[in-house]
Amino acid sequence: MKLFEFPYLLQKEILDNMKYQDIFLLSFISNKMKKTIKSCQHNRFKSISCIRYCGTNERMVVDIVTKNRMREDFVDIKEHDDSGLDYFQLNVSGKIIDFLRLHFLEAAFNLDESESVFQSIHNYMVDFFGDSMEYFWVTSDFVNTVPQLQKISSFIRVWNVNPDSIDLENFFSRNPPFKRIAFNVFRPTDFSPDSKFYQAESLVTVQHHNNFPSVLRHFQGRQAFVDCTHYNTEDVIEFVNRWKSGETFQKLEVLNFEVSQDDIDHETVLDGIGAKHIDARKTPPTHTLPKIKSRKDHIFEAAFNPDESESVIRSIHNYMLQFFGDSMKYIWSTSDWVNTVPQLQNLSPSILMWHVNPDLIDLENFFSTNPPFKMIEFHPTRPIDFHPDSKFYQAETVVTLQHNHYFPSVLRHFQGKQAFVHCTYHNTEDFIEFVNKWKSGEAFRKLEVLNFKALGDDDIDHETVLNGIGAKHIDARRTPPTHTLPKICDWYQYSPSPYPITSHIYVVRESDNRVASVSVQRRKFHFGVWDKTVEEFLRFME
Amino acid sequence: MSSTEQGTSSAAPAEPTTAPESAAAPEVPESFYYVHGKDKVVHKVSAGALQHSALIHGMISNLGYTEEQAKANPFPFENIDGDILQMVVDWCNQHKGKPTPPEDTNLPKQKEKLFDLVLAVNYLEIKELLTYCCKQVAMMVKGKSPEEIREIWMIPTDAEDEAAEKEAKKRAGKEAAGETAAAAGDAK
Repeated sequence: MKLFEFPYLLQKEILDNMKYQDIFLLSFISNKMKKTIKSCQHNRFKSISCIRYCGTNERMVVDIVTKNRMREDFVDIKEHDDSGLDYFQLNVSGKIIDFLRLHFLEAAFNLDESESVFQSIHNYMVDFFGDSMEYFWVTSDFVNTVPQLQKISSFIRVWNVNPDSIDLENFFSRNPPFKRIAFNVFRPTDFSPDSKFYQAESLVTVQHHNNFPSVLRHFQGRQAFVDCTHYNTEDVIEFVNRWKSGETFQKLEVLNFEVSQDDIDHETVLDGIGAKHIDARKTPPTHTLPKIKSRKDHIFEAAFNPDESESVIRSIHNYMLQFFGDSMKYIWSTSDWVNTVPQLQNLSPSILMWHVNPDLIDLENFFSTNPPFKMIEFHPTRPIDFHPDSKFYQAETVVTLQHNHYFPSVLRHFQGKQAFVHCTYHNTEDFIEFVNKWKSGEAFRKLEVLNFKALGDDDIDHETVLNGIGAKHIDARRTPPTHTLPKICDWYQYSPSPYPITSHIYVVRESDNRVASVSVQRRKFHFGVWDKTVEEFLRFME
Repeated sequence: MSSTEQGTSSAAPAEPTTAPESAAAPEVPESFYYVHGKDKVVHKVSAGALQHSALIHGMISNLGYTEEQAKANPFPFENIDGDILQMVVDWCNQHKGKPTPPEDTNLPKQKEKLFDLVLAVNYLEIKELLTYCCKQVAMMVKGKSPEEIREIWMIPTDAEDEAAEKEAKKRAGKEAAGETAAAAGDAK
């Protein structure tokens, strides 16, 4: 079938029925193809409202949002996976980049070249899709610098963050001013008056136990939304008088200031700011402004008062259950490790806990007050162990990155199905203990897969581990079967997929004769449990 | 299946009416037309089924053929293979007077058949079927790498495009030179 032999309108109709990621790849086939796409998809591209990079510098998922509020995943840009996946290469704006087609288009980078990969892909997109839409960088990564990309507006959410554990002053000085900052830290935080923090066009901040956040002294942007617990009358007066004198807040369009504990002393403030009054018999005009765009502008919103959030969410959820039925998955995906997940019918909660400081939050209590999670992605700032009965270990999937840790406790107490563990160091004895506990049936009864990767320089002692676990070997002349499993959280594109294990080494569980394939390669340890007895497993090779 | 002159099936019986007799409009017998493709096999199709094709519907709307006249004057579509026309006729019959479903899973999966079907459907201006067909063509490359897409849709490389362009220019030059020479000959 020759695409170019179709009349132009048919080519257009065909392309209209393709997803953006397929069209994007198609554009690399030839210059003529790219020109054709740009010509006959011109109107479709004009219907794009924005292209968003969402995630962290280590992994960005790019999606496309159209003006009629449809969202389409586009490309997942992430660190190169060295597990032998079948990458193909494309020349993207002069840079050769590895791509992969699994269920989703992926672009890969090595850690030292992430910025140049982002730049190349972005430059290509600006050329390809044009610059009529907006490009957003939406991140909660307050460690790495936002790459310098053309025509991009960046948004950051710095939420539930301990300012003592991160040098935020330095972070904002290294980045260009953000379009929007959502900022919620554990203690009152001021920045240097010249900080680019104050240059954000829009700033949303919740600062408990702060009388008057410094944002109201140094803000240079357009829209500020400030919630705090207490206030000083003088600060409000000073704010208005500095605006009146033209000394500061030149660009300010709106300030919404809310105090949760105190009532504002209306009389004193009005006197202090030299308020003028419109004749009470006349109706004053209403000041309204469009808000500065955020990623949420593209979706419908339902609103609740703070004291009724759970009942509102429950009502909406119940309606959806009735409306859409219970044949699909309902996922509660959160990064809120302060509030409890609402107890809703048919709902699987999952949580992302990145940069979480266990010294500031009672995580033990948090997990005990919640039902077991379907998935936990857990990157604590220091190693932490939970009580062996903690519901943390009952998550079906745990993905954890624990720097400076020897073999996290999840590998002693895990009761779920899939564990993905990255940590810096490892002890040979821990691997042996892990496998032997599985073999004896003492623990890990439900385990399907463990993918362990050590981030330090030491290789796992292959020989000692295999001896210690009583490994059995398949005849080297035979090809062992490959253990593969779908990931549990298939709805969550960030979650890792179990690593396919093709290994001559296996172990057998004593209680039910079930087999697990074991693979030890340098700093990786993979363990995949088969739904087969040893006899059934060996029959694969016959 | 459509009924064909060579086939065994006869003309479809008139649709039974479900409305009460007193309210029923006078029954108008359904009219039929005849089409054939490159293979000359004639297909008998009802005017209702042919409404899907804007081209044929436009052609028949003012003809006022009798059954005999229609039979004697089948519409020839010499640019459409017989099996492809059969598929089109089948589709029109299956979807006669019905709302079209959002997907059609009965379309051919073979590349060349689908290619011919798209061209035929485009020619016959059957909008819904064209949409399905184009979706099907688009689905062929879903999840594929650029090289795989190139193979499936036989898209030339830049080098091949350049070579073809050069060749076309050369040919055009030769033709222009030939025309000039002929014109000069004529002038002499």
